[in-house]
Amino acid sequence: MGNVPTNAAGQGMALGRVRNLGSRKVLIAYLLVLLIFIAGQVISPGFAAFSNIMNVLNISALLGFIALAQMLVVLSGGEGIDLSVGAMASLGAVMSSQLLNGMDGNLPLAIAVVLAAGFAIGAVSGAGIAYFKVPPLVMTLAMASVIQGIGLVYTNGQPKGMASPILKELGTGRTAGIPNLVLLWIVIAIVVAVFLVRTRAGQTLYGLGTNRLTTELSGVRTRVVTTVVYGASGAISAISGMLLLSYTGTAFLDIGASYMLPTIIAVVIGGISLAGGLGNYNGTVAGAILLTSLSSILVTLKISEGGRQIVYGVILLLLLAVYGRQKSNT
Amino acid sequence: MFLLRAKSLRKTYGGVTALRDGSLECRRGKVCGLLGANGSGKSTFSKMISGVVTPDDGEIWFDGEQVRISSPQEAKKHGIIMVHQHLSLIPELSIWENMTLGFEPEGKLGFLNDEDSRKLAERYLAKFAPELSVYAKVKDLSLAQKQFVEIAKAVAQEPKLLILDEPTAPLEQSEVEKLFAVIRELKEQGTSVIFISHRLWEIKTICDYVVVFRNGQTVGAIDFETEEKDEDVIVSMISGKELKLAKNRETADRAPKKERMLEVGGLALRKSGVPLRFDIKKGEVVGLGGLQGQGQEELLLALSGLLPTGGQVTLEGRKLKLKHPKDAVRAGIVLVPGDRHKEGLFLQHDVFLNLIYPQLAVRKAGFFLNRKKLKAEAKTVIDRLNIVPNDPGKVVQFLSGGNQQKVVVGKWLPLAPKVLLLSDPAKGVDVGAKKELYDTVRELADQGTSVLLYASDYEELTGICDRVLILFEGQIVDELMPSDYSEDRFVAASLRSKTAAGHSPIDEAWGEAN
Amino acid sequence: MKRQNFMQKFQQNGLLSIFAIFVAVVAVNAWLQPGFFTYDVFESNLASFTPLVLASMAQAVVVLAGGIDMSIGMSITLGTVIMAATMHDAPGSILLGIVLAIAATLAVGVLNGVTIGYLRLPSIISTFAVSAVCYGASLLIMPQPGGYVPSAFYETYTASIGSVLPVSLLVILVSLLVWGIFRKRKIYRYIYAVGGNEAAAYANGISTKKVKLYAFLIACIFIVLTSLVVVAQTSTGDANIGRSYTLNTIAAVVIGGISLQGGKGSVFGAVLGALIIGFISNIIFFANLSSFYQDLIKGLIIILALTLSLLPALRKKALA
Repeated sequence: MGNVPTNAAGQGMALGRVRNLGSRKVLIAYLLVLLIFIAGQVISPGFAAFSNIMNVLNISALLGFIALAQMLVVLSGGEGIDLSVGAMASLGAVMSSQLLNGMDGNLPLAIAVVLAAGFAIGAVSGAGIAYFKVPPLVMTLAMASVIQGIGLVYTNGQPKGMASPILKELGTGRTAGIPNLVLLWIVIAIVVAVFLVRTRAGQTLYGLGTNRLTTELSGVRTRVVTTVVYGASGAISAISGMLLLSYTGTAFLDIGASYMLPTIIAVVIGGISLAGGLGNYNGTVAGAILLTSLSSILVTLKISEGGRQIVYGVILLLLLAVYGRQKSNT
Repeated sequence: MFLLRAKSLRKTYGGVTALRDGSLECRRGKVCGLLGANGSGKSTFSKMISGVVTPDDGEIWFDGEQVRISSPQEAKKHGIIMVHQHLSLIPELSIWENMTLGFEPEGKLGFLNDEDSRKLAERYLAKFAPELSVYAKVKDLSLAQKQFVEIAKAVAQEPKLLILDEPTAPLEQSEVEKLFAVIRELKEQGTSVIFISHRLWEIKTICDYVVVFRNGQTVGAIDFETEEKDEDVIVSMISGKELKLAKNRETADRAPKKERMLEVGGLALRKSGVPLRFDIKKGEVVGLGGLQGQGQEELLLALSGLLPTGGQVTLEGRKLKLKHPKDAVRAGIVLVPGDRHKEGLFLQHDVFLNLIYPQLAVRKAGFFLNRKKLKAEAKTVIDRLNIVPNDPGKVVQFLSGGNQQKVVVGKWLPLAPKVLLLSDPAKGVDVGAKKELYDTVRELADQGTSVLLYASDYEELTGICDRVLILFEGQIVDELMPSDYSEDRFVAASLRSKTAAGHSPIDEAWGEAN
Repeated sequence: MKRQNFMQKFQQNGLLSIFAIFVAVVAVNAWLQPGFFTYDVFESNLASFTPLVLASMAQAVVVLAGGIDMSIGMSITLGTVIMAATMHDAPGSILLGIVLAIAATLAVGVLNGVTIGYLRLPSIISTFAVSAVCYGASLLIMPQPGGYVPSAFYETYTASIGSVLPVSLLVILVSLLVWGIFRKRKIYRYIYAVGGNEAAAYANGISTKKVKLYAFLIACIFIVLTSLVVVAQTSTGDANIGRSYTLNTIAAVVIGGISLQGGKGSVFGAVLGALIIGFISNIIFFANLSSFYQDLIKGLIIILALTLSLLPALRKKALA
């Protein structure tokens, strides 16, 4: 018993390299995307047309932004998970909408306020988790209802304002036929990849996620870092809310709610172990694209929201059964 | 004649062999002593007999037929019950609930018959601790009381074979006597007992024969009914002769070191204990000896900043505030912890990340990492410690135990530590790697690093240390210089450290008799 | 060797401090709510608290066994939606609705028990996935709120027996009685054993996976009762009706002194915890706050309760 490493990552890694496992999952994800588009084209001609592919990517980008927040938290380990990303994105959207009030001049202020509010709220969750040992899932679930409450109080139940022209152009415009949001997503993906692999902070995060005690003994103040990670997750979710607004133009109170479960699934599909410490953002990107494609073909097949929820739940259970089993007693 | 016969049991955990070849024959109505150093495989072996661990290979014969014991339930069905070293009690339940857990008497329609349960519990508890109420919750008991409840519970199930894994560790002298009285009673009823202990006088008092384990193998047996109870023979069987570290005997002849590196004062490990006071010179290797669990590991954790305690720690004349490992690491005090999987490594990551991590942690590396430079540094460490394979991209969990331990030591080298704390670094490490590991430690010491080493193995301590502090119940009870390094002194100071602590009449009696 | 009397047991379970909080919130509530001590107000308060009390008992059983049930809200929802969708005034349809709801709840319980006990998935996230499945199924059955619930349900639920014993109280008493029966069986002790120290329970020959499955199945009894009460109370089916129960039951369980680590606390504590949350909601309501503030304050109180209830354990750890 005891020191048998039964972590999910241990399986199928005969080559003994971390990156192979992640990249294999990513490859499988993209293959599935390809299959979905082929099947979609057969069922409903035009599904694989350039414009529809761009549409799917555009929506994937929105999921991808929020999933980045989820990924950081999951990566930081300690059963890390953030159930407040959806509510936080909603709050970010309604705040942006009211702060901007349709005017570009308000953009710097709106960005600053949204980021700060997101970070502050996220950091409160993080502090509860790091210092008071509240399980992340419970803490962030409770925080989600608080954030919802803040949204209600802030808007008095009725969000006002709208996106400014520049923001709208970002959300709905295209450059060389490619949606601006997708281009932004590519840039962010590169920045995140560099951050995770090439910076001290990124590599520290991997250690934190893999083994907290080793990290602490190496001289990292793990509780401070954990608090900051949840803060960052809040900030990213909130600013993703602004991007949701850029796409829709106006905000409503639970605009981000439906993204919560998909972010978790995207992260897991992308090879991030729920045990923490393994994976990269390119996997999450693949997960977001796969999930959006799947959702898109389900819509084409006229499968309702209820059916999609069941599909999501079953996929998550299957992923857990394959990657997330705990060690047995013997 | 034999109740149990286990032949060539084997168990490996992910490349680490816990038990290579464990064999034992258990006679009816006799007490069998199971001996061996920590990590010799005796615990794994007894867990196999009691169904907690399933062997990879080997046969078990019980009561004349071959059996497969794949769960504790099955072991119980055969009449084999083990009292675990790490208590198997449920803290939130009462004594009587615990004592009948898993075999509750049931009445009509499968409803519990709690009255019977309580009576049963009372009857057996009275043998050990008549002063305890069976209604008390287990979490409120002292360690010794918990141990009694545990043993009483096992006895209440009237086993054919009772396995006691270090049952006396938390017990006082008089309590040990009580336990022995019960064991004798069981013997008379024909019950066989396997008794695991580190204390030689207990073994000699209660056992009819002993079987010795070393490095995952059965190495021999002594029948006390026909052979002499010779402590020296037993000790040499336990420690083994083939494991002779290259003893740097010249260390003792070197010029005595004078420059003080680390001074510790007023550090109390246990609430009631007298605070510790000692120092370590520059380039000195100081050992921490004594029985297991006497505060050696706590001391190392305190110095590493993980377990903040009240004492004063001075490094090269500078007072340190050790509130967090970061304070210790930045000051140059680094720890090689006892459980490398849980405390020392990122198992799922490559050697490279593990080796550079402390530099990230103390922000020695810049924000943007110069991977080329770091890779070169990692390579230097790999070559210096001879980590096999010499590939920084290899994932650590696929290395052997010895090479994993080298990574744990190696990750500190780029920080050029002033004080190296080592907690049983050779546990589960093969002989060759062990030697390389200690050669590295010696080399570091020669370059001026001070070393504080805890090892459960006496040979390891004497092989490398300039002096050894013996700990007992969180206090330094003896200090041995190389001229004192004899088995007798060690055994006296640690195996029978109750004598040293001065409150063990039986031990003193034994000392006189020998 | 004396048997412990009731008070000692009470104190040992940490129920005393919970009871003190309970008395405090009741006092504040009585001060704010007009006619608090009249029978009608008592009855209507009780009727609104009952669903959370029952659901918290279900959550308590799972948490005591060392797990957590994130699907509880959606499992309740599924039961209510099935009933609202199948029932007419005909007795046969009512029976069918109840039987189908029980079957669905049990299926969810088995799914949770098997994934967590036998497949060893982490309960916190796998029940969350099951929650999505339940929500999806509820949406499929009832994309829009609606359905039909015979008025007999509402009438029965708000009736009182002999005009002294409200039916809602009767339901709670029956649930406690059901739990009382389990207390006299092995499974009760095994739930505490597995939750308290799984490895030790295993070493004692207890089949830990079976115990986890049974814990989820026992919870099903209370979940079905909750669904029945919710249907009677709201008289409609709505796929979002149970959403808040997941968080609120966890809060009730924690406030009621049950450790989220498992194995510690009592189901009775969870009942008190649920009542405390009910009274707090009442207080917020009668304090004349804007309804927008209600969720916010309740969320904050829950977070406060969570952090405070985990403090003693931390302090103990720091001393050790």
